[in-house]
Amino acid sequence: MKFKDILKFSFLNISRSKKNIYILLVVILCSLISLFSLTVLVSFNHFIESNYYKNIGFRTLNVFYADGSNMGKPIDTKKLKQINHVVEVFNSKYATFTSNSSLENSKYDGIITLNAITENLQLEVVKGENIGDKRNVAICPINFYPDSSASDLSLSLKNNADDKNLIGKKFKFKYSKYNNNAERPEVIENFEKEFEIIGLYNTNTTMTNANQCYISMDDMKEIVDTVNQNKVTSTYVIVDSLNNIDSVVNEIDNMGYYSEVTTVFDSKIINNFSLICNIISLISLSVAVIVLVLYIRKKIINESQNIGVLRSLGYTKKDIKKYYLIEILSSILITYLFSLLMFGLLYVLLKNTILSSLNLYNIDIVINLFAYLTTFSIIVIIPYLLSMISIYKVTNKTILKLMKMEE
Amino acid sequence: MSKIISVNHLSKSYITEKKRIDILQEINVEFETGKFYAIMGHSGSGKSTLINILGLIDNFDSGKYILFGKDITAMTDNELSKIRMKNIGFIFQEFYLNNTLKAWENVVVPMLINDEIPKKERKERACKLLKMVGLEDRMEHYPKELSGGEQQRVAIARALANNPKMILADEPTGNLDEEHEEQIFNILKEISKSGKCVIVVTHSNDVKKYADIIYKISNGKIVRQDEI
Repeated sequence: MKFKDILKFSFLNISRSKKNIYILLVVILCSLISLFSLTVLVSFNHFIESNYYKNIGFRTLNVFYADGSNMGKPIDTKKLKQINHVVEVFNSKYATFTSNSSLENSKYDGIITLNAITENLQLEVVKGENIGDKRNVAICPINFYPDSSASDLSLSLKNNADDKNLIGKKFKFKYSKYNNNAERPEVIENFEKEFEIIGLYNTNTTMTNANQCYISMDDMKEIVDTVNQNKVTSTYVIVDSLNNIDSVVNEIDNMGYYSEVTTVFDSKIINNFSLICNIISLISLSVAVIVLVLYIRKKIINESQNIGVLRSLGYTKKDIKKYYLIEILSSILITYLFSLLMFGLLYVLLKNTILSSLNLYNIDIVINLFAYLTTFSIIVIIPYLLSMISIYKVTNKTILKLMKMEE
Repeated sequence: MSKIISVNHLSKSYITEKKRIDILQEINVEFETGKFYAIMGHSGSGKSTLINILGLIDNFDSGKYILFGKDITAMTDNELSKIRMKNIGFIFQEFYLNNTLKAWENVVVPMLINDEIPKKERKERACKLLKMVGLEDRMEHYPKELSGGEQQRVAIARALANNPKMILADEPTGNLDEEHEEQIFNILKEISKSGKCVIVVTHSNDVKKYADIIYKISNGKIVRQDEI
């Protein structure tokens, strides 16, 4: 019996029965739901990994004296640096500095924030080069938006500067020294420092606003020490990985200091979201498998008589097995491929409409192999293996038993 | 005319919890091509068991069954299937048509495993057979759209699909009225006249008008009643 003939007759058998079509539609729906929930789950996990695990903010410890007093008593940064898994230690006053810049024009107010970066904390540059040990250079966002409203994602994404012309562009950072002893702070002296943009980074990876640039620690010290701001400061300790935070915190505690993570992620949200996605996937996959297995089982039982007739017409057991295994496999595969096609179309449609707003929050829903492999192995392989057992059992019955003709 | 079946001392029994039932005892019978045979008997007399054994879909306990000059006892399941495909056409009381296939597609089903019939000839052949049984205007109909008699005629066309040497019919008119019964017997008679061996198991006395040879089964034994 030829493969083409089996496919043709299988298609006729399936397509001409409304019941078959309804059942396969249920399976398509369940496959679609599971494909979507798994895709969202994987994308969300990917988002967490690329932000939560990579982002420095979630592994930066703010170190104080245990009694909260950090005025006048310098923290022993050398000792902190010696702790295992500590990548960098610096005074928090050198972390960021916000001020005006020469980038001010009719579109932008020119307010930018500079962040210090050390050789141990190099940034992931998507275009251009990294700072290394260079001075008077800056790495700015690929969607650079030198404006105080940069935290408004919808604005910053719409009005960002053209990244093609950013590399090599120079800007002056304007800062002032104030007399803080006066009733109102008075400007004593104005300063300007020129920076050349040598690299661009993606704000998705740092979770920072589009008006934040990175400069070397030495340049930052120059700026901060010039204005000599007597800010209440602490010490920042950067840990190499999220997994090592607890051990570093313990070490710091043993030294008599108190530390806390500067930015804490709400893991409850992650856990609840993952749980919901998992439950939806599990339910939809279970329904698809149960419906398919019951459908195939009932089909084989109902077809027993037909199998007997085919045997009486001269079909061998091998012909019967081949016929039904191909028919069942092709119907499951066609159903699954149809689900994938529908999923692809819906994905493109949703991504360009409802899901496009997620880009503002750095969440990218991406098609992933895990979702395909999971749904394929559960929706296609499990029912097919179970149907194989049923087919082998049925074909081993005598023709008379199959046709219920035994006297 | 040539002898195609020779059955010698064939016996078959069923063992139930209470007793052993000898359904066929020491059956000796021969069948030739070009003849219409009728096997009659009461319910449970063993006539269906005999036709099932002759059609290689049931086995027997003892005796010899020579089909086309070959002893079938030592044949494998695949060999028996091949003989059924090429040489035996079955007609059942319940028609057993596939309801999702059209009349001509049902007739094509046995041809799918016969490499001797080219793919492009299948439909043409099925249509010719349906025309032969008077269903030229019912080819595109599904079984549910056909009367009982028409369904049985589709089943006859299907039995003839691979041009078998013999047709075995188990109560082919059991579900039909008199008018349709006559049609079916007429078709089977024509088939036998074309050189095929037609063996019909039936309750109907009307078969006597068509049969060349009538056998009667009673208490597991076969008796040749008369030759017309």
